Amino acid sequence: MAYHDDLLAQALELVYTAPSTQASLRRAVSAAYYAVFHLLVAEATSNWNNVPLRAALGRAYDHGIMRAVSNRLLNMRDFTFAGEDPNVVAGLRFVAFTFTELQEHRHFADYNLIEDLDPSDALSQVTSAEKIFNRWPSIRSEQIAQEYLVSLLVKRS
Amino acid sequence: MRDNDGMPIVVHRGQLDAEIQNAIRKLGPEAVDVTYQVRPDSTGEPAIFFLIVLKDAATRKDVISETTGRIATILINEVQPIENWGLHPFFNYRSESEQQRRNGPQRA
Repeated sequence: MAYHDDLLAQALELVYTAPSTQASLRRAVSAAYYAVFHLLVAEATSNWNNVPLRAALGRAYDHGIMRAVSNRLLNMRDFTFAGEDPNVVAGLRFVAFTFTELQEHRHFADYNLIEDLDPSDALSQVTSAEKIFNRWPSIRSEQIAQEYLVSLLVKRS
Repeated sequence: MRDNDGMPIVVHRGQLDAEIQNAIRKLGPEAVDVTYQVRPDSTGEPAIFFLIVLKDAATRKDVISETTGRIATILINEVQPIENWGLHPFFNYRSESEQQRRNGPQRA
């Protein structure tokens, strides 16, 4: 299995661990975020013909830029995607929304010990990540999805 | 909970509250309670954090994804927090039983 598949499997295993602990729940959310992060990076770099260099190219991806790009895509006024298949647009927006959501929740899971992470919240995040893995194959070949992958690498002023 | 957590509020709060309350009415019976905070996210960008308390049955692993996806979609489509308010929405979920076990401050 690819690394991102392993991470998702780990997230699912952790979130279903019974009885749950704060450690298992928080690691589940963190693994879910990184599963999606590495899925998107792997998909983007898979377009690079020089296979041995794909992992090196993947190092160029920046969490903050990926979040900013994903946030921009969610603005339905600025990004209308006129003429595009609504199902594809909805799928892409789901990916972008969930990526940002997971990144914020990972930040909480890894750093904020002031209050507990609820099991339902952790489960919601992990299943959302799983849903990206299920939905991405149906849109990955669409041009707007490929444009999204490229944009994840591009910093805008 | 409607707390700005020290963040300067530049939105017309009453109108935002009214739009959110209107959206909440459309969520269905799975959503027992909805609270929210306007505050910066972890990157410092303005955001709105919803905390939705769900019926326990709605947090089962076979239905939670559908439930939370539907609730988030309704709130986003009705309030349009990004387009109308410049606030990025985030969603936290808690079951009724988890809520009852909690004694500390709520996270929204």
